[in-house]
Amino acid sequence: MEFDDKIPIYYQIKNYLYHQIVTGELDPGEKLPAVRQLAVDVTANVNTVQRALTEMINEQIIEPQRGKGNFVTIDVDKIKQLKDKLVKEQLTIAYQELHDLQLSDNEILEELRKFMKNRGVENE
Amino acid sequence: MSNVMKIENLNYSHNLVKILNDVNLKVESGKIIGLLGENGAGKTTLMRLITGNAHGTGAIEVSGTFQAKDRKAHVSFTDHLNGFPAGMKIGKIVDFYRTVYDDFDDKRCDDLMKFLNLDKTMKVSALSKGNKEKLIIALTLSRQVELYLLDEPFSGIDSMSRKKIINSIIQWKPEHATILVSDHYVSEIAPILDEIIVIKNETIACQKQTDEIRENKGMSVENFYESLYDEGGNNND
Amino acid sequence: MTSFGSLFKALSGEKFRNSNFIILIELLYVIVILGLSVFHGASIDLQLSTGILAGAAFIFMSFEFIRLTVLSEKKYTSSTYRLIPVSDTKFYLTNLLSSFVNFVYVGLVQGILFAIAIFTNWNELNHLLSNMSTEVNFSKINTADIFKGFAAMIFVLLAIAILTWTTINLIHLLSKAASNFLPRTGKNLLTFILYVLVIGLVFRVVGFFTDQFSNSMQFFTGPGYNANYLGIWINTLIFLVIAAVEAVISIYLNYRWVDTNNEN
Repeated sequence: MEFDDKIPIYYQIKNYLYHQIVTGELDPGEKLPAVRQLAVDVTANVNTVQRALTEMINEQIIEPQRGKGNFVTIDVDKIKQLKDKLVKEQLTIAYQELHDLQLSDNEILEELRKFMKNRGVENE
Repeated sequence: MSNVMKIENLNYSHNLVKILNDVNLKVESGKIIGLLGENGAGKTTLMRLITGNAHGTGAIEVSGTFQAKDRKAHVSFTDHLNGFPAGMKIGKIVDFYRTVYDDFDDKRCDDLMKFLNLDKTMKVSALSKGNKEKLIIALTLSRQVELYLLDEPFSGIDSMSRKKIINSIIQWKPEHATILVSDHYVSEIAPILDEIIVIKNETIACQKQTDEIRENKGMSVENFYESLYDEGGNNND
Repeated sequence: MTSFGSLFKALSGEKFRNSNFIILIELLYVIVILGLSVFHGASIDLQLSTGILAGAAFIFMSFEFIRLTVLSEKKYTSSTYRLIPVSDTKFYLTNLLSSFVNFVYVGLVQGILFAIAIFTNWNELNHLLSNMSTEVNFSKINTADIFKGFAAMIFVLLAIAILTWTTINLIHLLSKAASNFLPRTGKNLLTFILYVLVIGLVFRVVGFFTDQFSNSMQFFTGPGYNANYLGIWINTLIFLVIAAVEAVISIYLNYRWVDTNNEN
């Protein structure tokens, strides 16, 4: 995986795994790969991966089971909350950027509609 | 966390030229640490001093031992195999390592050789630069020690070999062992580093956690490393 | 810590391959020379075969000695070997021993070749001996004297070999250690001076050794032989004591100052 070297690596790993959970690549209750395997998969240090996992455990998105490894939570509400959080994060960034370009809320909505429509045409 | 290595007041000169001046350093167990600095800054010299193959003044402690002969049993260094005849087969070199190092692990060696696509019947002289570097990494990591010193394992090799070497470092680092890897160019290894140590002006210019640099300074490790040279001004070649 | 056995094996590997190569070349050389002699109409008798073998032994033992010296010296400054976790004393003594054993090994092969030459010409030898005993007063030399003489000769030779090795090593390590204290030009000058001094010393010592050697050989030449065996043994002992002192200094130099060549 390609990292942005200006952002803490543990944070990027956490986001990468959150994306997998939200998009269903990792199902609720599914076991995560072992720490070392994850480290190899994303090409990062075991300690950094461990730090990402520890934060995910603290945020209760994954649950450690003694001697077995880490599992995605089966609490679908938690995953829903996580998805909301990620969506909100992305929207915040986009909204802030557009707002900085002096667009009003209505204009932002209009631009977004136009964008999605044209994008659809291009894709056909 | 406990320290795997402690260096106190280390000095080294060669032909009356000062190379390292009053180096003090503590290195924790279980880390991957980048040893950075320009060419000729003294990275290789520091590693050679740690192994005991170069002699300076001051104290170097590795896993609780001070004498060079004892330290050697706890340190695995990327030797460039110049002690062997060029026509020697990889298998023979593996035999040599197995003979002289009690901590040499055949299983690790076989796994590493397989992972890095090395053929034991090949002659060292027939290896490409990338494959020779892979062989050196495989031999170095086949030992089970507390401290690994990888001296510029990425210099002058293709990106595929580099990726393979980085992956073998991640995969075969014993949990509590520390790997010190030197490079004069940080971006290629930055994501796997816990920490960087920079040698500049004959001594340790800084020792920092990489995620701390990213989090607190909002800088990439590479930019931070370069910034050390901008403000200093008195660069040595 | 690496065991003595493992270290010996590691330090001997290259030397042993080298010894075998030299033996192989020597055998080819002997066969070719014998073949050429027969081709020119000579018959392979005792004189011819021992003559050829003596020449071959001199050439190839010298060659073996030089190769062992070079291979041995390389080990002290090679990172590959100096990374092995052993003390400097153990490294030094094992390296010296592995050279010594290889030298003796090639020496034994010479002995076997001579034995073959003698046994295949046994009748001729007996004939020669009985002739000689009538001409010179050969009967005065008994077998014990011959063995004593041989033993003395071999011991002097081996002591010379060891002393030469320890001396060359000492110079090598002194010039390496000087790197710590001298600028590059000064180090080159020192190396030059050391070599001049040592070459001078070698000439003197060689003269001295030659005397010792001819002394140990006297049993072949002088009737009513009374070689000074005690003197030879004492001199051999003195050589070994000097070698031991040099060894102690070299080990200390290794321990304290000598860096391996920086090849990375």
